[in-house]
Amino acid sequence: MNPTPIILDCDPGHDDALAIILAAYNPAIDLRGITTVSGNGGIDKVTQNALRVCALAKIQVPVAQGSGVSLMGFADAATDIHGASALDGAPLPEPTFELSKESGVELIARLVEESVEPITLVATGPLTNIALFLKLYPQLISKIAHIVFMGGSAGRGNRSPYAEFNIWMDPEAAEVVLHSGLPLTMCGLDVTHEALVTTEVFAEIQKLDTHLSTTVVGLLHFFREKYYEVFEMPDPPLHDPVAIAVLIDPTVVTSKFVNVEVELEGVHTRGATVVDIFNRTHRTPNTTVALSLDAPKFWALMTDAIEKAGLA
Amino acid sequence: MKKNLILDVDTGVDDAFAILFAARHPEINLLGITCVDGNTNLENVIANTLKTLDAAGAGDIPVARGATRPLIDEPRYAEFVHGSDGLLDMGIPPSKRVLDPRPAVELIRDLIEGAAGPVTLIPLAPLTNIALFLRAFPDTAAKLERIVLMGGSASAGNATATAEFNIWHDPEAAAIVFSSGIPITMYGLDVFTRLQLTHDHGTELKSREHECSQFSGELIQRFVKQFTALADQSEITLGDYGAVATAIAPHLVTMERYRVVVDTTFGPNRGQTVCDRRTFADSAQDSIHSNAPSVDVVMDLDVDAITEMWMRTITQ
Repeated sequence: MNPTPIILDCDPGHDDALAIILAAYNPAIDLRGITTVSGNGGIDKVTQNALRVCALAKIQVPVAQGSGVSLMGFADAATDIHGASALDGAPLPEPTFELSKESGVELIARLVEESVEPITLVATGPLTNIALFLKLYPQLISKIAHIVFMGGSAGRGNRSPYAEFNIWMDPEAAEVVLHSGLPLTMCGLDVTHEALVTTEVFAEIQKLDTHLSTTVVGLLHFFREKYYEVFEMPDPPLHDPVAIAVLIDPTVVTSKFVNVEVELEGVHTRGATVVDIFNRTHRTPNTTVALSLDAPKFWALMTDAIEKAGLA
Repeated sequence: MKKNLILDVDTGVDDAFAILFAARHPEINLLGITCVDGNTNLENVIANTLKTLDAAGAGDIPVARGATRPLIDEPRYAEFVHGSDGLLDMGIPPSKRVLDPRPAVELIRDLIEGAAGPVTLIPLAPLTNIALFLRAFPDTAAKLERIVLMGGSASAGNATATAEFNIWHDPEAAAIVFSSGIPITMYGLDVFTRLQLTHDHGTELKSREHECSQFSGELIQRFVKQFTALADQSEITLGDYGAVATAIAPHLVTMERYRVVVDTTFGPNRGQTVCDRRTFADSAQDSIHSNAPSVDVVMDLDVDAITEMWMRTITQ
C-alpha cells in the first residue's frame, strides 16, 4: 500500500516532537511538510523546536511558521508542562536547514496543490492554521482526504476542568474544522491518556542506546516530572503521536462515528468538546472519535520509529 | 496625491454606488476589489462587481474571490432588499472581465506590499475576508494606514434590534478586525441612511448619455421602487458610498471616539457593536470596554456636499 501523504501541523512540545519522529520514520506515512502554531509555547519557540527536532532526527522536509495567535487573537503557553523553551529536558542540536519563507497556511496550500494524491492533515496543536487554510483556500478542500487531530475529550479536560488544551486555545478554529464536512478523526484525552510513558516504556527506549533515544529519554523525564506536579499522574500521557499512529494502523484505537460540537461560549466550559456518544441530540455525526487505545500496539510503533530515527 | 484604496464588497446596490464612485473619482487610486458573501452569495457578488466596473468605465482593476460564508455562522443574505441576483435583477449580461487568480487575502497582501505609499482598506461588507487577511498576513496588515468600514451602529440595529447587518453576518470576523489595533473609522447606521436619493435623481442621471449615468439612474429608480414596495418609502440611501466619501473627505463628516466591543455571544445582542458613549465610566468595573481600542465613529455628515460629490463624480 502506498504511504499516506500528510502535513503535520504542530506546536512542539514534547509529545509533538515524538509525533514528528513517528511520522518521519514509519513507512506507512509520507511526511510532506511541517507547519507550526502557537500552543505549547509561543510561535518562535515552537518553530525553533520543530527545526531542532528535525536536526536531531535527521529529517529534511519543509517547515513553515504558522499563526502566533488564535483566530480570535488569543495567545497563551503551556510552560507548566513543557517548560520555558516548550521542549525542556535535553539539549537539542541547532537547526540544520532554514525555515520556509512561506507562512504556514501558504505552505499547506502549496503542498496540497502540488500533490497528485489527496493529502491528510494531522494537527497536534490548536487548529488555527487548519481553520485558516480551510477558509483561505476553499478550492483546495476537495484535495484533503482526512483531518486527524489530537484534541478534545469525551470526558474531562486538562486545560480547564472540561476543556482539553488544544481546543481550549482556539475553540473557533475547532468549530471551523468540525463543520468543514471533511472526514475527521479526533484523538482526544480519552485515548491519549492511555498512551502512558510507563517505567517499562522508558526501559524500552533506553535500551535502544542511541544519541537520539538518550535525548528522548531526557525530554520524557522532564515531561514526566511536570505531569506529576500538575496532574499527579505517575506516568505522563504521550498525546500527539496517537494522531499519527491511527493513520499507520487504524486498529490501534477503537472508535465511534458521532457528532462533536465545541462549546464557544460557556461561562466555565469554553473550549469543551461536546461528544454525543449516544446520539442524544440527533445531530449529524461528523467525527470519528477514538475512545480506547491498544497501548502495546501503539508503543511498538513508537519505539520502532525512535529506533530507526536513532540509526539514521 | 491620490489616495490608495482597496474595496471589499458584497455588491449589493449600495456597494455598486460606492464602486462607481471609487472607480471614477480623480483623487482615488483604486488598487483592487475583493469580494465576499453578504448581501447575496459570492458568485452573485462577483458578477455584480464586474458589471459595475464595466458601467463605471473602469480600467483593469483586479477583482478577487473571497470567502463564501462567515467564519462560524451560516450565511444569511439580504436579497429581499437587493433582489435575487443582488443587483435588482437588471438583466445586464455578464461582464467579460476576468477574475484575478489570487484568493482575496493574497490580493490584499500583494496590493499593500506593492503600493507606492500608504493604503486604506474599505470594507463595505461582512468582515470575513479582512479578518482572514489580518490573521494570515499580520506583518502586511500592520502597514495599513486605516480601515474605514461600513458596519455597526452606536444606536439601533437593522438585521436585529441591536445589530447591523454586516457585523451580524460575521460577528467573529468583526471582533477580530475591531480588536486589531489598526486605526478604524466606523461608518455605521448612525449616518447610513442620511445620504438620500429619489426617483428624480434617477431621472436626472438617465437624461445623460454615458453608460455610468444610465446604469446609476436605472439602479436608483429600481431601488426606489423596491423600497416603496418594501417599506412604503420613496427615498433610498447611497449607503456604502458614504464610507468611501469618509475615507477621502473626512472633513465632511463629524466623528466621535468610542471604545467599541463586538458582541460575539449567542444572545439577543449577537453582532452588536457596543459603543461606550458614557462620559464617565468606572474602568475598574468594566474591563471589557476599558481594554477595547477606540474607534472613530461617524455620527454626523454634510449631507448636501457628500451627495453632490457623488452625483458630480458619476456624471463627470
